[in-house]
Amino acid sequence: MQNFIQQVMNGLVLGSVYALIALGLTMIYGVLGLINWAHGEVYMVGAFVGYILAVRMGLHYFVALVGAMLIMAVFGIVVERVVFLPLRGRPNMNVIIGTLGLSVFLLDGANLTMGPDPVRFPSIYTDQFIRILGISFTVQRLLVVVVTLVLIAVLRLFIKNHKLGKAMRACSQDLQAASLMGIEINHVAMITAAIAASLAAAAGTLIGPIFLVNPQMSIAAVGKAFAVTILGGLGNVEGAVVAGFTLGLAESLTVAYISSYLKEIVAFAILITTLILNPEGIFGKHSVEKV
Amino acid sequence: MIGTKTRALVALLLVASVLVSGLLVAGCSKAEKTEKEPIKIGVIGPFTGPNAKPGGRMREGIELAVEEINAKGGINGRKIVAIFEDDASQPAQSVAAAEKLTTRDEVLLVIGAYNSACVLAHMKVTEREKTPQINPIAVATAITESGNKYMFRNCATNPMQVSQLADYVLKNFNFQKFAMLFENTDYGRGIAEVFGPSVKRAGKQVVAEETYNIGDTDFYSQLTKIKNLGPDALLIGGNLTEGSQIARQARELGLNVQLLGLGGLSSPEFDQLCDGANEGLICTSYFELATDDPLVKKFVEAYQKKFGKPPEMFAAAAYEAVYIAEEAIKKAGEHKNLAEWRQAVRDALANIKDLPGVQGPTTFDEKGQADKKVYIVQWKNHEKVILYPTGK
Repeated sequence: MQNFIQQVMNGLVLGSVYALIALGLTMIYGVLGLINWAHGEVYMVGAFVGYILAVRMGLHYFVALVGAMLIMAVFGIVVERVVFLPLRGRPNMNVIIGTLGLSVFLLDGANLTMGPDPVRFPSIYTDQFIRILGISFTVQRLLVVVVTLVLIAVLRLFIKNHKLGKAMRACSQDLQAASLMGIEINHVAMITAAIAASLAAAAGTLIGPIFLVNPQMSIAAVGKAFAVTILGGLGNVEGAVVAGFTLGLAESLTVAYISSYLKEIVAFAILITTLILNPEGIFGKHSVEKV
Repeated sequence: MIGTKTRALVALLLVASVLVSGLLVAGCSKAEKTEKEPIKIGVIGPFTGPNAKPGGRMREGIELAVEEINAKGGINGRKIVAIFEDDASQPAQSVAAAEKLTTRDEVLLVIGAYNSACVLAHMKVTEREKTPQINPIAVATAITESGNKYMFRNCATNPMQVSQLADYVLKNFNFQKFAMLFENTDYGRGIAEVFGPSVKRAGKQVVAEETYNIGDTDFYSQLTKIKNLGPDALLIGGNLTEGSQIARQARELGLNVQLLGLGGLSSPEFDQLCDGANEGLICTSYFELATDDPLVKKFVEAYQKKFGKPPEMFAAAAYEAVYIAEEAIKKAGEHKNLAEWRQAVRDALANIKDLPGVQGPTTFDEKGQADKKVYIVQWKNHEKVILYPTGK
């Protein structure tokens, strides 16, 4: 039983990681209609910003977390103006090349400035342990799950109730109609990019301390994030959250009760089965409610 | 892409530097007409790309050895010169490098490379050209098992390392249950395939065989499972990035068993990444700075003086390879015909017996594999304590 609880906890941590990264990806698709191939790199840059604020500048961990989210929100707006805006309404191939270019730029930029070797990103919570009922984890891991759930709740409230959130939903349903109704598309696009980048920064700053930080972390993260986004239905925020936790739990329980050899296989088998049965993802309706 | 451009630029600079050094050599020989032409040694290694860092260390080790040998008058009255060719860890590029070195530069002997995949690819070229090759770093077993008569390796292969670790642990500790967590690659599986049977032969148990993929960051699931099986020791069959996280996460989960590891986990980078989680970990090591061996002391001093930092295992292995080459070339004597000369050097290499080196004495077996002993070390308070061989 305690083995099971421990593995569920492990799965929840993994799931939070997947969900946080996938959220930004799915939001940008939902509102702007473009797949951002550079999202993994934005997550990586966010982790480095958190690392610089917390470790190099010695700020309190929570100050660094909020700081990284704010800095990356600005970064997201810049990216939207410089990269996404010129690509809006262009053929798919332009969008793919454009965001891939951004991804190469950010990855090589990080290699150049921060170096390719992984660094430790210790926070005050990485060496504090919680041991109850025979299970064991660090406070940092608990923090990952809790902060993720809080961010998801805030995001949900914002999208459902705030005026801008409603505007975002309108844009995701029909960009042209929304603009005819007087919605300032440019503002909505910038806000969406800012939220997506700051969620990625939160993910990087939360996850950095439990793992390591290096430029290559973007590549590892983005594969799973894409899987989660597709599993949850492209552009579907709730779907991304549910899919993230599903995948995290499936991986951890596979290792526990079957074999670690099968970890990736089970995760992708779930993905493929879902796509065969319901190509729109877990929450597939024919007209998906995006964002 | 930016990467390609930089690479092209670096390649251009390399070509330019080779040209310039060629001119310098030519200039020297004109000035001192009495001096004989230098002996050319080809070096293949990853001087750019993902392994540029260890490749650079390898290059430094070779530069130092060449400088030292030339300072005492060269070999048989002739200076030696090393010609470096970059393979960027790409097998195709390393084949091109081997072609250039053996046919255009007409080197007497080749040293290299870093990646097993590269050596496996280009050793066909050196074999075809009947050029002897010393491989100081690449550890794939197939390199010396393929029947290539021109290939010599002066480092312990994976199975050699793993069985030496297993022997040491089984002899010195009374562990009954072992767990293994290894990367799901040829490298990781190779470790498990030697360690597991060694444990079983000694009448002990392997209670867990878990795997992970390169680039994985979370090992809680595997470690939770291992913890429940209650082993006495855990073997980490992987490299330092994943290894450091396994060590740390094992401690976080309260899995306080003896940790075991291989080569990569003896590096200072591993210690930095672990930040204390490696305390007590026992692993193998090819090269240790803190020994009383006078050869090692001399090497460490000279390296520190030339490059301003202490050497590590790759520099040591490459440095040693140059001295093995020196010994063989000395024994082979002078030959007018390059093919005969290469053959004589190959035969001299095959007959090397107990040649002292910074990684211990070298004797090649009939497959060209040196019978190398590895160190067994233990991390204590960010320093390595040598457990074996003792009193050295």
